[in-house]
Amino acid sequence: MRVRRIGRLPGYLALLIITLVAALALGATYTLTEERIFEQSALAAEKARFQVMPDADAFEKIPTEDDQIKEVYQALKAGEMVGYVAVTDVNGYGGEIEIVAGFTLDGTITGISVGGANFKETPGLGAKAKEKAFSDRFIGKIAPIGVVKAGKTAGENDVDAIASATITSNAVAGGVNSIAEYISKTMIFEEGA
Amino acid sequence: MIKERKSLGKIFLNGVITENPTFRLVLGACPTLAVTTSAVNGIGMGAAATFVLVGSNVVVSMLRKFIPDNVRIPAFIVIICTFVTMVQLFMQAYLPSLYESLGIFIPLIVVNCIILARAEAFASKNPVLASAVDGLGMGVGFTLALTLIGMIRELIGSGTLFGLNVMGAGYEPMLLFVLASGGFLTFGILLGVINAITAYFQRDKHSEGGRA
Repeated sequence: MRVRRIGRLPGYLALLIITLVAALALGATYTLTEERIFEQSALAAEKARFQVMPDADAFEKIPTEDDQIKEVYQALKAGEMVGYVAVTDVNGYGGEIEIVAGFTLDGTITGISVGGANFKETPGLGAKAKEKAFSDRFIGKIAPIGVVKAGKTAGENDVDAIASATITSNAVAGGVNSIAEYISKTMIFEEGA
Repeated sequence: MIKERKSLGKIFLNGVITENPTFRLVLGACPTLAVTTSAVNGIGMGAAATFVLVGSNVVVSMLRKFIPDNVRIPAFIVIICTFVTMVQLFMQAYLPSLYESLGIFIPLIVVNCIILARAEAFASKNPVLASAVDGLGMGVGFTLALTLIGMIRELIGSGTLFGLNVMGAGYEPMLLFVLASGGFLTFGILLGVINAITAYFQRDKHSEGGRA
């Protein structure tokens, strides 16, 4: 009946022991997973860069001078610069959306990737911004990108909004545009190339 | 105090069918409605909750003679939180895409009432193995229910099933079903259907009457 005897521990002591053990278990789990979580997010970021700039084989990080633009990379192919990739956050309908966009040297969009850790757009509506069907609409266009409701006639550099998710669509286009603006301001897009 | 020992199989089926947490006990309805926008989300949420249920049931059962009555609820919550945080970290490390799609609902497993309910109603009064089986049964019941709701909502609301397009290109998805209101509709109709079936079978077997 050893168990019975410990059973008479005062509540605060029992709780103290339980929380101590819990803290130890959590500390151990954190140590175990920390590195892997870091790798995963680095991997996801790298994957996003290759997704928006499929032509490149390497990326070189360059410093950014704008608070809004989180990261800027030169996209390299066999050592030659072929374009830029940059990352920014915009406010969507449900919270922050991370946008990664790639541009060739003449400013044509090579691809965008939508998501980020805080992505909380409405499932089935705004969340469709993450899907290829939406992000592919940007490929080949030149910023500034306009957003038009689906079905309406679109200009050369307009994309169709996601049905019933105009705020999200506008936010994504806005993010792409601000990246384009930053790059054209600080780097050189080849004029008229 | 401990009732006559039920067979483990019966304990398991109790969670899956007789006292299915979603359709019979109607516990944990908040995550049920929130994450079941797709079948995959349903399975992922169910699996995470099952792990937490089994883990917390086992630990609570092991400590049932150690935890004084007056602090049992905070003690249970700490144990449950520990398991939830572990699930969260491991999922982030090994299943990042699922982690991303379940988002805030992973930490919210802590307040899923099924888990506290099973700790309080079952694990704190029963031996370890029975508690583990009870957690597993409840978890499987929860997972099946979430997957079923997720499949229906995904099929009607997005025209897909487990991410595969099954309704053909001409199908116009009924967006309502992936929104919160569609969750209530699906859940309500399923509850009604299941209650009707249960009532039908109970009328059939008179001997079974009187059981909840």
